[in-house]
Amino acid sequence: MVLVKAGKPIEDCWTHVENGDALPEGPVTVSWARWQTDRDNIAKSPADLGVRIPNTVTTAEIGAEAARFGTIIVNFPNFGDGRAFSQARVLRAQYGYKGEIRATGGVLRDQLQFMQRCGIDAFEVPERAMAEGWFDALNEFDLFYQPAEDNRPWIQRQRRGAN
Amino acid sequence: MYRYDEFDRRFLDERVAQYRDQVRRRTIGQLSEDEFRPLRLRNGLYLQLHAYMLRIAVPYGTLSPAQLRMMAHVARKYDKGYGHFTTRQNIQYNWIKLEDTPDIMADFATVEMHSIQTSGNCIRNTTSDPFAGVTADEIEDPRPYCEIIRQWSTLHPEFSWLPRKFKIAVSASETDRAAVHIHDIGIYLKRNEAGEVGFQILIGGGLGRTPLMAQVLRDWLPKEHLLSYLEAALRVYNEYGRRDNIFKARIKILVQALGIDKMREAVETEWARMDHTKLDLNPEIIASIRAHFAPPAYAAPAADGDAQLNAATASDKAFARWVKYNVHPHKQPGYAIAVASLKPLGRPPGDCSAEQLELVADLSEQYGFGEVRVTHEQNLVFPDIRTENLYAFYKVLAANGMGTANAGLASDIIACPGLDYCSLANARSIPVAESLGKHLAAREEEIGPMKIKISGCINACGHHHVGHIGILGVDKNGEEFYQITVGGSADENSAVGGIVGRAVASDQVNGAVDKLLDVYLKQRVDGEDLPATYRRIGAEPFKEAVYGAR
Amino acid sequence: MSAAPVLYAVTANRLRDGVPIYFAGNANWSTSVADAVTDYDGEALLAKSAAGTAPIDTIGRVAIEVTVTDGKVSPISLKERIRATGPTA
Repeated sequence: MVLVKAGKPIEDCWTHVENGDALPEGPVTVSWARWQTDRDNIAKSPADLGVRIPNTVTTAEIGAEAARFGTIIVNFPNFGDGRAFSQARVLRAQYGYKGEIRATGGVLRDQLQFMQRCGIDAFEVPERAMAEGWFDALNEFDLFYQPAEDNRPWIQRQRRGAN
Repeated sequence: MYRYDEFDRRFLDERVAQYRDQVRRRTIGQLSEDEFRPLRLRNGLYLQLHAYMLRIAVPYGTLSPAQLRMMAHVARKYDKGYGHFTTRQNIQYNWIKLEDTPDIMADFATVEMHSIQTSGNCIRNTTSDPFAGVTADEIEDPRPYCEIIRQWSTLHPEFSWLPRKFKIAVSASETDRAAVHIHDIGIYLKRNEAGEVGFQILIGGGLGRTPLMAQVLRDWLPKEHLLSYLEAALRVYNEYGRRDNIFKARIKILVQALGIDKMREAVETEWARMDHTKLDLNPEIIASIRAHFAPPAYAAPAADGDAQLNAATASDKAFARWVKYNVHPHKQPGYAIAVASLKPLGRPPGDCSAEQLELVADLSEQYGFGEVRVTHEQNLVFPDIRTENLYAFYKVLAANGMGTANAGLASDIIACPGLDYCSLANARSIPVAESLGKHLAAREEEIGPMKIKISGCINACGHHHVGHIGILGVDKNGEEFYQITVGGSADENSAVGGIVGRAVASDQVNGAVDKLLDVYLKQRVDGEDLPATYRRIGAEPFKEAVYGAR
Repeated sequence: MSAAPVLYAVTANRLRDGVPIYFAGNANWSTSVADAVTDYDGEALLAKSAAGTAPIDTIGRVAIEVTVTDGKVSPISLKERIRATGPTA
């Protein structure tokens, strides 16, 4: 797998800690389950914190705490399960979350633009994604029929000549 | 009707280019079939028994002559010379090759047509009343709101991977010709106490394995909040709809599980939490869309229009019968709404040849203002025929297999393609429809309004649950059997029909239906329809008639 | 009395046009069920049909029950018979 941001592969600066393991130095992500049970200890750590959330966590639950996290890793258990689109969107739109939202799991090239529009800005994709030009998909459409979290112009604004 | 602007056209071109590339990637093996299937479904392409089937969207059932001619062209060039109109006002082609589909979509794009989201777990075609804009009993034309919903729902980034499909219908009449109650979201235009027009929003209707009628989510919603409110409802569904079992994944199951009050609470909470400002519709936006649906330049009625009509009905009994059943009053004096039947006896319901499609285009220009509607009962509607032209118009229809005077009668059967075409089916539906229609034709005038609906499997694309008489094909030990229901209705008194008894063999269907109709004819009072008789006398008399006393 | 053994053929759809095709042995596929090879071991037949370049072009390979009468292969289920011969209406 490769981590891609702004269309380019990047090093993953986060260490993804399993539930039983001690927190190392540097930016770490923990599972949502661990955050629920071990919150006080984890919060004591000076490191940057991220969280990996199942797609069954409600947007209200994650939204309430989002500001603590430098990255929120959302999951698509299979590419047909689109709950994380709403998780990402609500985090941006209603909770004003400014950190990284990363997509993992079943991520199809043809979903990338939808994900980006919902406010996802990092993507864990198979190695072949770069060779196959997956991130060209982010520019497949330059017109949209509804507003989203990407600040790209949408049709109502274009029709009125606004920007 | 809505005309694309440069943005709509460019968007569609980008979509066609995207799809063309998806087909390329599939063909060279960069996409597996599992990965490609949801993509092709979101472009309306199914793999069926004999070939691919392509479903083209007909937004709220409205078509222009150019679109009809392209439908004919595609039928000829890429298919076997015909198309099939569906219970969601769309058209389907049964003999499509994958390799042709990018070109087919490019062809349709030139006439502002597409197949976007006609399948897949996303928001589907928003359907409406085929008499929209021309019937006196509507509050206002519902189609501008359908168009607003269509645009908003097109490639919606958050709602393109829902738990299951999502269907919306809009009606502006109390007489529901859009089957609003069997939709995931059904919308009625409605006035509040102050006389302002807004929307009543219903939620959680659907057929299939668990037929349920939609319930009122919000009794009155101001127009401006249409999209923001829908967005709140879709978000609740996307978050909480079941993903573990495709037979329990529609929003109707969520509504059933939560109860309508908790569902309402969830939607209203989400709506209160979200920022409406971007999505709320200001009057300018609504007006700009409504402008596309402005009434045509109606002329004054001809002084002798009615006289001509009366002379023709007096002299031509077949025409008189057609006027009686297939012609409806128009809100504009001097005009009429005409139903062109696609249910000729002994032919597959809803099929239309390339020649017929072209004729329909010509007729719509010659006798109307260049517009035709598709009904969810698989017929076509010409919305603006002048009274004095009805006879000439009828004669052309009749000479071309579209003049059957059976609109709303027993031989006006709704049927899905069934096991002859569909890989989901358990039994055939077309031969049953053909045989039953011919069988009942002789007494259909005596029977009166009668909606018979046939589905080849429990997915209920033929809407059998809401037929006055419903017929469901089932597989019993490898043989086709048919389960019959009675008393269903898809109008404003929506109801699921009751099962009459054990499924019967195909050669017993006509006889069983006869017995049900005999009970109805004997027991009905004051011209009530079959569902009303059923509500009044219950299921027992019908069951006894077919299966004997217990 | 033991049940008669079940005979199988393998079918799929052709990618480019969706047409039903039948495994005819030796990495060949035919649009005619008459050319289908049959075997009492459906799993083995399915495995054989996976060989060669044809699989890229095939969708949904599956073993189906058939009978052979006077050398003619016929699918048993109504769905597969309609698939092999076309719509009845």
